[in-house]
Amino acid sequence: MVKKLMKYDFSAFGKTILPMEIILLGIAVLTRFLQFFENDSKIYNILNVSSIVLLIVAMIVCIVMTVAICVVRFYKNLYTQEGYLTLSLPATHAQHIISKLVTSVFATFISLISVILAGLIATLGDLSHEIILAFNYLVKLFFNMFKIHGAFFVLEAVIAAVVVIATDYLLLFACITIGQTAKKNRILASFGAFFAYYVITQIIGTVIIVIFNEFYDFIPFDAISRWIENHQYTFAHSFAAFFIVFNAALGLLYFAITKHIMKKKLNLE
Amino acid sequence: MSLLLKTENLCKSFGKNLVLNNVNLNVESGKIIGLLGPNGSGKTTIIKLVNGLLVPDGGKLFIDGKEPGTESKKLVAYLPDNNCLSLSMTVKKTVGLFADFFEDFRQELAYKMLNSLNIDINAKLKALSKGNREKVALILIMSRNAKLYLLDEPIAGVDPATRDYIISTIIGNYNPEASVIISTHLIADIESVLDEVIFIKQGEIVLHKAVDEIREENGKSVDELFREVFKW
Repeated sequence: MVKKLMKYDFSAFGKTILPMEIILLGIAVLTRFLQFFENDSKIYNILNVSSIVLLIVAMIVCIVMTVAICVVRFYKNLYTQEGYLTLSLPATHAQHIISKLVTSVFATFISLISVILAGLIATLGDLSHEIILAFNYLVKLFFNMFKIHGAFFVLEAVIAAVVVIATDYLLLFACITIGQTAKKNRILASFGAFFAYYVITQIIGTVIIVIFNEFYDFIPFDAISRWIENHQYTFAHSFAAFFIVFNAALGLLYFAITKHIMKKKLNLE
Repeated sequence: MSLLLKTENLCKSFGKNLVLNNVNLNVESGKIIGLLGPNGSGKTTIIKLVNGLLVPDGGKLFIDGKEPGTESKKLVAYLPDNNCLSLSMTVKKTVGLFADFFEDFRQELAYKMLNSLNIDINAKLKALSKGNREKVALILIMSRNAKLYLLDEPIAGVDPATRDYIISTIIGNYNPEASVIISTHLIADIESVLDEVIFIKQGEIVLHKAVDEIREENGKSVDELFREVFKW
Protein backbone atom coordinates (compact mmCIF):
# COMPACT_ATOMS: atom_id res chain seq x y z
CA MET A 1 0.00 0.00 0.00
CA VAL A 2 2.85 2.41 0.86
CA LYS A 3 4.32 1.76 -2.62
CA LYS A 4 1.01 2.74 -4.23
CA LEU A 5 0.73 5.88 -2.10
CA MET A 6 4.33 6.81 -2.91
CA LYS A 7 3.67 6.40 -6.63
CA TYR A 8 1.15 9.25 -6.50
CA ASP A 9 3.23 11.38 -4.12
CA PHE A 10 6.26 11.07 -6.42
CA SER A 11 4.08 11.90 -9.39
CA ALA A 12 2.84 15.08 -7.66
CA PHE A 13 6.43 16.10 -6.82
CA GLY A 14 7.52 15.35 -10.37
CA LYS A 15 5.15 18.04 -11.63
CA THR A 16 6.46 20.75 -9.32
CA ILE A 17 9.97 19.99 -8.06
CA LEU A 18 11.42 18.52 -11.26
CA PRO A 19 10.72 21.60 -13.46
CA MET A 20 12.31 23.75 -10.75
CA GLU A 21 15.45 21.62 -10.82
CA ILE A 22 15.57 21.72 -14.63
CA ILE A 23 15.38 25.54 -14.47
CA LEU A 24 18.23 25.57 -11.91
CA LEU A 25 20.43 23.43 -14.15
CA GLY A 26 19.48 25.67 -17.09
CA ILE A 27 20.67 28.76 -15.17
CA ALA A 28 23.91 26.92 -14.34
CA VAL A 29 24.48 26.17 -18.04
CA LEU A 30 23.76 29.83 -18.89
CA THR A 31 26.22 31.01 -16.24
CA ARG A 32 28.92 28.75 -17.65
CA PHE A 33 28.05 29.72 -21.25
CA LEU A 34 28.51 33.44 -20.48
CA GLN A 35 32.05 32.78 -19.30
CA PHE A 36 33.04 31.77 -22.86
CA PHE A 37 32.75 35.42 -23.88
CA GLU A 38 34.95 36.74 -21.08
CA ASN A 39 36.17 40.31 -21.72
CA ASP A 40 36.60 43.57 -19.84
CA SER A 41 33.47 45.31 -21.07
CA LYS A 42 31.05 46.71 -18.51
CA ILE A 43 28.04 44.92 -20.04
CA TYR A 44 29.80 41.57 -19.84
CA ASN A 45 30.71 42.13 -16.19
CA ILE A 46 27.13 43.06 -15.32
CA LEU A 47 25.79 40.00 -17.16
CA ASN A 48 28.35 37.68 -15.57
CA VAL A 49 27.76 38.92 -12.02
CA SER A 50 23.98 38.87 -12.56
CA SER A 51 24.06 35.27 -13.76
CA ILE A 52 26.14 34.19 -10.74
CA VAL A 53 23.75 36.00 -8.37
CA LEU A 54 20.80 34.44 -10.19
CA LEU A 55 22.39 30.99 -9.83
CA ILE A 56 22.96 31.42 -6.09
CA VAL A 57 19.39 32.67 -5.60
CA ALA A 58 18.06 29.76 -7.70
CA MET A 59 20.04 27.28 -5.56
CA ILE A 60 18.55 28.69 -2.34
CA VAL A 61 15.05 28.86 -3.86
CA CYS A 62 15.36 25.24 -5.05
CA ILE A 63 16.06 23.93 -1.52
CA VAL A 64 13.53 26.18 0.24
CA MET A 65 10.80 25.50 -2.31
CA THR A 66 11.39 21.73 -2.14
CA VAL A 67 10.78 21.76 1.62
CA ALA A 68 7.76 24.07 1.16
CA ILE A 69 6.28 21.87 -1.60
CA CYS A 70 6.70 18.72 0.52
CA VAL A 71 5.01 20.33 3.53
CA VAL A 72 2.19 21.80 1.43
CA ARG A 73 1.66 18.40 -0.24
CA PHE A 74 1.26 16.78 3.20
CA TYR A 75 -1.26 19.45 4.29
CA LYS A 76 -3.20 19.68 1.04
CA ASN A 77 -3.39 15.96 0.33
CA LEU A 78 -4.52 15.00 3.83
CA TYR A 79 -6.31 17.94 5.42
CA THR A 80 -8.03 19.88 2.63
CA GLN A 81 -10.70 18.73 0.15
CA GLU A 82 -8.26 16.21 -1.35
CA GLY A 83 -8.12 14.59 2.08
CA TYR A 84 -11.70 13.35 1.61
CA LEU A 85 -10.39 10.97 -1.05
CA THR A 86 -6.92 10.35 0.41
CA LEU A 87 -8.31 9.37 3.81
CA SER A 88 -11.03 7.24 2.18
CA LEU A 89 -8.37 5.02 0.62
CA PRO A 90 -7.91 1.67 2.38
CA ALA A 91 -4.56 2.69 3.88
CA THR A 92 -3.62 3.18 7.52
CA HIS A 93 -2.66 6.58 8.89
CA ALA A 94 0.89 5.30 9.44
CA GLN A 95 1.11 4.32 5.75
CA HIS A 96 0.02 7.82 4.70
CA ILE A 97 2.68 9.44 6.93
CA ILE A 98 5.43 7.03 5.79
CA SER A 99 4.62 7.66 2.13
CA LYS A 100 4.77 11.44 2.56
CA LEU A 101 7.96 11.17 4.63
CA VAL A 102 9.90 8.91 2.26
CA THR A 103 8.97 10.96 -0.81
CA SER A 104 9.81 14.25 0.97
CA VAL A 105 13.24 13.02 2.12
CA PHE A 106 13.94 11.65 -1.36
CA ALA A 107 12.85 14.92 -3.03
CA THR A 108 15.11 16.89 -0.66
CA PHE A 109 18.14 14.76 -1.53
CA ILE A 110 17.40 15.12 -5.25
CA SER A 111 17.27 18.90 -4.77
CA LEU A 112 20.57 18.88 -2.87
CA ILE A 113 22.17 16.83 -5.66
CA SER A 114 20.76 19.28 -8.24
CA VAL A 115 22.31 22.20 -6.35
CA ILE A 116 25.71 20.46 -6.26
CA LEU A 117 25.38 19.56 -9.95
CA ALA A 118 24.45 23.16 -10.81
CA GLY A 119 27.56 24.35 -8.95
CA LEU A 120 29.74 21.92 -10.91
CA ILE A 121 28.18 22.91 -14.24
CA ALA A 122 28.68 26.63 -13.52
CA THR A 123 32.35 26.05 -12.75
CA LEU A 124 32.93 23.45 -15.47
CA GLY A 125 36.42 23.66 -16.93
CA ASP A 126 39.62 24.64 -15.14
CA LEU A 127 37.87 25.67 -11.94
CA SER A 128 35.81 22.48 -11.57
CA HIS A 129 38.96 20.50 -12.38
CA GLU A 130 40.69 22.27 -9.48
CA ILE A 131 37.71 21.61 -7.20
CA ILE A 132 37.66 17.91 -8.09
CA LEU A 133 41.43 17.65 -7.54
CA ALA A 134 41.13 19.37 -4.17
CA PHE A 135 38.21 17.11 -3.25
CA ASN A 136 40.21 13.99 -4.26
CA TYR A 137 43.16 15.21 -2.21
CA LEU A 138 40.97 15.75 0.85
CA VAL A 139 39.32 12.35 0.47
CA LYS A 140 42.74 10.63 0.29
CA LEU A 141 43.96 12.61 3.29
CA PHE A 142 40.80 11.72 5.20
CA PHE A 143 41.12 7.98 4.58
CA ASN A 144 44.89 7.97 5.22
CA MET A 145 44.24 9.63 8.55
CA PHE A 146 41.24 7.56 9.71
CA LYS A 147 41.73 4.33 7.69
CA ILE A 148 38.69 2.02 8.03
CA HIS A 149 37.14 4.40 10.58
CA GLY A 150 36.90 6.95 7.76
CA ALA A 151 34.42 4.70 5.93
CA PHE A 152 32.38 4.40 9.13
CA PHE A 153 32.45 8.20 9.60
CA VAL A 154 31.10 8.66 6.06
CA LEU A 155 28.40 6.05 6.68
CA GLU A 156 27.46 7.69 9.99
CA ALA A 157 27.31 11.11 8.32
CA VAL A 158 24.98 9.81 5.58
CA ILE A 159 22.70 8.05 8.11
CA ALA A 160 22.72 11.17 10.33
CA ALA A 161 21.76 13.38 7.35
CA VAL A 162 18.86 11.11 6.39
CA VAL A 163 17.66 10.85 10.00
CA VAL A 164 17.91 14.61 10.64
CA ILE A 165 16.05 15.50 7.43
CA ALA A 166 13.37 12.87 8.17
CA THR A 167 13.01 14.09 11.78
CA ASP A 168 12.66 17.70 10.63
CA TYR A 169 9.90 16.71 8.19
CA LEU A 170 8.16 14.68 10.90
CA LEU A 171 8.29 17.72 13.19
CA LEU A 172 6.66 19.87 10.48
CA PHE A 173 4.03 17.15 9.83
CA ALA A 174 3.29 16.97 13.57
CA CYS A 175 2.90 20.78 13.83
CA ILE A 176 0.53 20.83 10.83
CA THR A 177 -1.48 17.97 12.36
CA ILE A 178 -1.65 19.63 15.79
CA GLY A 179 -2.96 22.73 13.99
CA GLN A 180 -5.84 20.60 12.63
CA THR A 181 -7.20 20.13 16.15
CA ALA A 182 -8.04 23.85 16.32
CA LYS A 183 -11.66 24.83 15.68
CA LYS A 184 -10.70 27.55 13.21
CA ASN A 185 -7.58 29.24 11.73
CA ARG A 186 -5.92 25.85 11.47
CA ILE A 187 -2.94 27.04 9.41
CA LEU A 188 -2.25 29.74 11.98
CA ALA A 189 -2.58 27.10 14.71
CA SER A 190 0.06 24.99 12.90
CA PHE A 191 2.49 27.93 13.01
CA GLY A 192 1.52 28.37 16.67
CA ALA A 193 2.36 24.70 17.34
CA PHE A 194 5.78 25.17 15.72
CA PHE A 195 6.42 28.33 17.76
CA ALA A 196 5.34 26.54 20.96
CA TYR A 197 7.73 23.69 20.10
CA TYR A 198 10.55 26.19 19.64
CA VAL A 199 9.82 27.86 23.01
CA ILE A 200 9.60 24.48 24.79
CA THR A 201 12.94 23.28 23.35
CA GLN A 202 14.56 26.58 24.39
CA ILE A 203 13.21 26.14 27.94
CA ILE A 204 14.44 22.53 28.10
CA GLY A 205 17.86 23.63 26.77
CA THR A 206 18.09 26.37 29.41
CA VAL A 207 17.10 23.94 32.19
CA ILE A 208 19.81 21.48 31.07
CA ILE A 209 22.43 24.27 31.08
CA VAL A 210 21.32 25.38 34.57
CA ILE A 211 21.55 21.80 35.89
CA PHE A 212 24.93 21.36 34.19
CA ASN A 213 26.21 24.53 35.86
CA GLU A 214 24.91 23.38 39.25
CA PHE A 215 26.86 20.13 39.02
CA TYR A 216 29.87 21.61 37.19
CA ASP A 217 32.25 21.02 40.11
CA PHE A 218 31.24 17.38 40.39
CA ILE A 219 31.97 16.51 36.75
CA PRO A 220 35.38 14.77 36.41
CA PHE A 221 36.52 16.67 33.29
CA ASP A 222 40.14 15.47 33.54
CA ALA A 223 39.15 11.83 33.62
CA ILE A 224 36.71 12.32 30.75
CA SER A 225 39.30 14.07 28.55
CA ARG A 226 41.86 11.37 29.33
CA TRP A 227 39.36 8.70 28.34
CA ILE A 228 38.51 10.54 25.10
CA GLU A 229 42.20 10.90 24.28
CA ASN A 230 42.76 7.17 24.72
CA HIS A 231 39.55 6.14 22.95
CA GLN A 232 39.15 8.76 20.21
CA TYR A 233 37.41 6.50 17.70
CA THR A 234 35.15 4.90 20.30
CA PHE A 235 34.15 8.36 21.46
CA ALA A 236 33.53 9.64 17.92
CA HIS A 237 31.45 6.60 16.89
CA SER A 238 29.54 6.61 20.18
CA PHE A 239 28.77 10.31 19.76
CA ALA A 240 27.57 9.71 16.19
CA ALA A 241 25.44 6.76 17.33
CA PHE A 242 23.93 8.84 20.16
CA PHE A 243 23.21 11.70 17.75
CA ILE A 244 21.48 9.35 15.29
CA VAL A 245 19.49 7.48 17.96
CA PHE A 246 18.46 10.70 19.72
CA ASN A 247 17.19 12.26 16.47
CA ALA A 248 15.50 9.01 15.43
CA ALA A 249 13.75 8.88 18.83
CA LEU A 250 12.54 12.47 18.35
CA GLY A 251 11.34 11.53 14.87
CA LEU A 252 9.42 8.57 16.27
CA LEU A 253 7.82 10.84 18.87
CA TYR A 254 6.65 13.29 16.16
CA PHE A 255 5.44 10.33 14.07
CA ALA A 256 3.46 8.98 17.04
CA ILE A 257 1.90 12.40 17.74
CA THR A 258 0.84 12.80 14.08
CA LYS A 259 -0.57 9.27 13.91
CA HIS A 260 -2.42 9.60 17.22
CA ILE A 261 -4.13 12.85 16.21
CA MET A 262 -5.04 11.47 12.77
CA LYS A 263 -6.53 8.34 14.34
CA LYS A 264 -8.22 9.70 17.43
CA LYS A 265 -8.89 13.38 16.85
CA LEU A 266 -9.28 13.79 13.10
CA ASN A 267 -12.03 16.23 12.23
CA LEU A 268 -11.86 16.83 8.51
CA GLU A 269 -14.13 19.74 7.71
CA MET B 1 -30.61 -9.30 3.84
CA SER B 2 -27.73 -8.58 6.19
CA LEU B 3 -27.08 -5.67 8.50
CA LEU B 4 -24.64 -3.39 6.67
CA LEU B 5 -24.51 -0.38 8.93
CA LYS B 6 -25.22 -0.24 12.63
CA THR B 7 -24.79 2.72 14.95
CA GLU B 8 -25.31 2.60 18.70
CA ASN B 9 -25.87 5.86 20.61
CA LEU B 10 -23.62 7.73 18.22
CA CYS B 11 -22.75 11.21 19.46
CA LYS B 12 -20.71 13.98 17.92
CA SER B 13 -20.26 17.60 18.86
CA PHE B 14 -18.16 20.43 17.52
CA GLY B 15 -17.20 22.51 20.53
CA LYS B 16 -20.40 23.21 22.44
CA ASN B 17 -22.56 22.44 19.42
CA LEU B 18 -24.07 18.95 19.72
CA VAL B 19 -24.42 17.77 16.11
CA LEU B 20 -25.45 14.14 16.67
CA ASN B 21 -27.30 13.00 19.77
CA ASN B 22 -27.54 9.25 20.46
CA VAL B 23 -28.13 8.19 16.88
CA ASN B 24 -29.20 4.56 16.52
CA LEU B 25 -29.38 3.30 12.97
CA ASN B 26 -29.68 -0.08 11.31
CA VAL B 27 -29.22 -0.21 7.56
CA GLU B 28 -29.75 -3.49 5.73
CA SER B 29 -28.25 -4.48 2.40
CA GLY B 30 -30.00 -4.10 -0.93
CA LYS B 31 -31.68 -0.77 -0.19
CA ILE B 32 -31.55 2.77 -1.51
CA ILE B 33 -31.99 5.01 1.47
CA GLY B 34 -32.55 8.74 1.57
CA LEU B 35 -30.88 10.50 4.49
CA LEU B 36 -33.08 13.55 4.61
CA GLY B 37 -32.96 16.64 6.71
CA PRO B 38 -32.51 20.39 6.48
CA ASN B 39 -29.09 22.01 6.32
CA GLY B 40 -27.11 21.54 9.51
CA SER B 41 -29.20 18.61 10.74
CA GLY B 42 -26.22 16.22 10.90
CA LYS B 43 -26.47 14.32 7.58
CA THR B 44 -22.90 14.99 6.48
CA THR B 45 -21.58 14.30 9.97
CA ILE B 46 -23.11 10.79 9.97
CA ILE B 47 -21.63 10.09 6.53
CA LYS B 48 -18.18 11.37 7.55
CA LEU B 49 -18.28 9.27 10.73
CA VAL B 50 -19.11 6.14 8.75
CA ASN B 51 -16.24 6.89 6.40
CA GLY B 52 -13.77 7.52 9.23
CA LEU B 53 -13.21 11.19 8.41
CA LEU B 54 -14.51 12.19 11.83
CA VAL B 55 -14.04 10.49 15.17
CA PRO B 56 -17.21 10.03 17.28
CA ASP B 57 -17.35 11.50 20.79
CA GLY B 58 -19.49 8.64 22.00
CA GLY B 59 -21.28 5.50 20.85
CA LYS B 60 -20.31 2.81 18.40
CA LEU B 61 -20.38 2.33 14.69
CA PHE B 62 -20.07 -0.85 12.62
CA ILE B 63 -19.87 -1.29 8.85
CA ASP B 64 -20.60 -4.90 7.98
CA GLY B 65 -19.52 -5.73 11.53
CA LYS B 66 -16.27 -3.75 11.32
CA GLU B 67 -15.38 -0.52 13.08
CA PRO B 68 -14.35 2.35 10.74
CA GLY B 69 -10.81 1.67 9.52
CA THR B 70 -8.81 0.23 6.65
CA GLU B 71 -11.04 -2.84 6.30
CA SER B 72 -14.29 -0.85 6.35
CA LYS B 73 -12.93 1.58 3.74
CA LYS B 74 -12.61 -1.35 1.33
CA LEU B 75 -16.38 -1.77 1.58
CA VAL B 76 -17.48 1.85 1.46
CA ALA B 77 -17.64 4.04 -1.66
CA TYR B 78 -17.92 7.67 -0.57
CA LEU B 79 -18.85 10.68 -2.66
CA PRO B 80 -18.29 13.86 -0.64
CA ASP B 81 -20.32 17.02 -1.08
CA ASN B 82 -17.31 18.86 -2.51
CA ASN B 83 -14.65 18.06 -5.08
CA CYS B 84 -12.13 15.65 -3.57
CA LEU B 85 -10.20 14.86 -6.74
CA SER B 86 -6.81 16.41 -7.43
CA LEU B 87 -7.41 19.03 -10.11
CA SER B 88 -3.86 18.71 -11.43
CA MET B 89 -4.42 15.07 -12.37
CA THR B 90 -5.86 13.89 -15.68
CA VAL B 91 -9.12 11.91 -15.78
CA LYS B 92 -7.16 8.85 -16.93
CA LYS B 93 -4.72 9.09 -14.04
CA THR B 94 -7.58 9.51 -11.57
CA VAL B 95 -9.20 6.36 -12.96
CA GLY B 96 -5.81 4.66 -12.50
CA LEU B 97 -5.70 5.84 -8.88
CA PHE B 98 -9.09 4.22 -8.13
CA ALA B 99 -7.99 1.03 -9.93
CA ASP B 100 -4.76 0.96 -7.91
CA PHE B 101 -6.37 1.37 -4.52
CA PHE B 102 -9.77 -0.29 -4.78
CA GLU B 103 -9.86 -3.97 -5.68
CA ASP B 104 -13.58 -3.71 -6.44
CA PHE B 105 -13.11 -0.93 -9.01
CA ARG B 106 -14.51 -1.73 -12.46
CA GLN B 107 -12.17 0.19 -14.76
CA GLU B 108 -13.89 -0.81 -18.00
CA LEU B 109 -17.24 0.37 -16.69
CA ALA B 110 -15.71 3.71 -15.68
CA TYR B 111 -14.22 4.25 -19.15
CA LYS B 112 -17.50 3.21 -20.76
CA MET B 113 -19.44 5.79 -18.76
CA LEU B 114 -16.82 8.51 -19.34
CA ASN B 115 -16.90 7.72 -23.04
CA SER B 116 -20.70 7.97 -23.14
CA LEU B 117 -20.38 11.52 -21.77
CA ASN B 118 -17.65 12.39 -24.29
CA ILE B 119 -15.28 13.32 -21.49
CA ASP B 120 -11.69 13.56 -22.70
CA ILE B 121 -9.79 11.16 -20.45
CA ASN B 122 -6.51 12.92 -21.18
CA ALA B 123 -7.85 16.26 -19.95
CA LYS B 124 -6.84 17.54 -16.55
CA LEU B 125 -9.70 17.79 -14.07
CA LYS B 126 -9.16 21.53 -13.72
CA ALA B 127 -9.92 21.86 -17.45
CA LEU B 128 -13.37 20.30 -17.00
CA SER B 129 -16.51 22.20 -16.10
CA LYS B 130 -17.81 21.92 -12.53
CA GLY B 131 -20.67 19.73 -13.73
CA ASN B 132 -18.35 17.37 -15.61
CA ARG B 133 -16.02 17.14 -12.60
CA GLU B 134 -18.98 16.09 -10.47
CA LYS B 135 -19.97 13.51 -13.09
CA VAL B 136 -16.43 12.12 -13.17
CA ALA B 137 -16.42 11.81 -9.37
CA LEU B 138 -19.79 10.05 -9.41
CA ILE B 139 -18.70 7.69 -12.20
CA LEU B 140 -15.59 6.75 -10.22
CA ILE B 141 -17.61 6.05 -7.08
CA MET B 142 -20.35 4.10 -8.85
CA SER B 143 -17.76 2.07 -10.79
CA ARG B 144 -16.81 0.46 -7.52
CA ASN B 145 -18.50 -2.79 -6.62
CA ALA B 146 -18.83 -1.61 -3.02
CA LYS B 147 -21.09 -2.87 -0.25
CA LEU B 148 -22.12 0.55 0.97
CA TYR B 149 -22.33 3.70 -1.13
CA LEU B 150 -22.41 7.01 0.73
CA LEU B 151 -23.43 9.86 -1.51
CA ASP B 152 -23.40 13.26 0.15
CA GLU B 153 -25.59 15.78 -1.67
CA PRO B 154 -24.91 14.27 -5.12
CA ILE B 155 -27.62 16.32 -6.84
CA ALA B 156 -27.14 19.66 -5.15
CA GLY B 157 -26.14 22.57 -7.33
CA VAL B 158 -26.53 20.84 -10.70
CA ASP B 159 -28.96 21.45 -13.54
CA PRO B 160 -32.06 19.18 -13.91
CA ALA B 161 -30.58 17.23 -16.86
CA THR B 162 -27.41 16.48 -14.88
CA ARG B 163 -29.61 15.56 -11.91
CA ASP B 164 -31.38 12.96 -14.08
CA TYR B 165 -28.03 11.65 -15.31
CA ILE B 166 -26.73 11.33 -11.75
CA ILE B 167 -29.82 9.49 -10.54
CA SER B 168 -29.82 7.11 -13.50
CA THR B 169 -26.09 6.46 -12.97
CA ILE B 170 -26.73 5.57 -9.34
CA ILE B 171 -29.62 3.26 -10.16
CA GLY B 172 -27.91 1.67 -13.13
CA ASN B 173 -24.56 0.90 -11.58
CA TYR B 174 -24.83 0.07 -7.91
CA ASN B 175 -24.30 -3.44 -6.71
CA PRO B 176 -27.84 -4.77 -6.00
CA GLU B 177 -26.61 -6.52 -2.87
CA ALA B 178 -25.23 -3.25 -1.58
CA SER B 179 -26.98 -0.30 0.00
CA VAL B 180 -26.90 3.28 -1.15
CA ILE B 181 -27.34 6.12 1.32
CA ILE B 182 -28.11 9.39 -0.41
CA SER B 183 -27.98 12.53 1.69
CA THR B 184 -30.05 15.37 0.27
CA HIS B 185 -32.75 17.92 0.89
CA LEU B 186 -33.95 17.80 -2.73
CA ILE B 187 -36.45 15.04 -2.01
CA ALA B 188 -38.78 15.37 -4.96
CA ASP B 189 -35.98 14.50 -7.39
CA ILE B 190 -34.99 11.24 -5.75
CA GLU B 191 -38.19 10.12 -4.05
CA SER B 192 -39.09 7.71 -6.84
CA VAL B 193 -35.88 5.70 -6.42
CA LEU B 194 -35.85 5.42 -2.63
CA ASP B 195 -36.72 2.25 -0.70
CA GLU B 196 -36.38 3.83 2.74
CA VAL B 197 -36.00 7.26 4.24
CA ILE B 198 -34.30 8.50 7.38
CA PHE B 199 -35.38 11.90 8.66
CA ILE B 200 -32.80 13.64 10.78
CA LYS B 201 -33.59 16.75 12.77
CA GLN B 202 -31.10 18.63 14.94
CA GLY B 203 -28.88 15.58 15.28
CA GLU B 204 -31.62 13.10 16.14
CA ILE B 205 -33.30 10.47 13.98
CA VAL B 206 -37.01 11.33 13.95
CA LEU B 207 -38.12 8.78 11.38
CA HIS B 208 -36.77 5.67 9.67
CA LYS B 209 -39.36 4.01 7.47
CA ALA B 210 -39.93 2.32 4.14
CA VAL B 211 -41.24 4.72 1.50
CA ASP B 212 -44.19 2.41 0.76
CA GLU B 213 -45.14 2.41 4.44
CA ILE B 214 -45.14 6.20 4.51
CA ARG B 215 -47.44 6.33 1.50
CA GLU B 216 -49.78 3.69 2.96
CA GLU B 217 -49.86 4.88 6.58
CA ASN B 218 -49.69 8.62 6.07
CA GLY B 219 -51.26 8.87 2.64
CA LYS B 220 -48.55 11.34 1.71
CA SER B 221 -45.48 11.44 -0.44
CA VAL B 222 -42.08 11.61 1.27
CA ASP B 223 -41.75 15.20 0.08
CA GLU B 224 -45.07 16.16 1.68
CA LEU B 225 -44.22 14.39 4.94
CA PHE B 226 -40.81 16.07 4.99
CA ARG B 227 -42.40 19.50 4.64
CA GLU B 228 -44.75 18.64 7.50
CA VAL B 229 -42.07 17.31 9.85
CA PHE B 230 -39.62 20.09 9.17
CA LYS B 231 -42.14 22.91 9.08
CA TRP B 232 -40.84 26.11 10.68
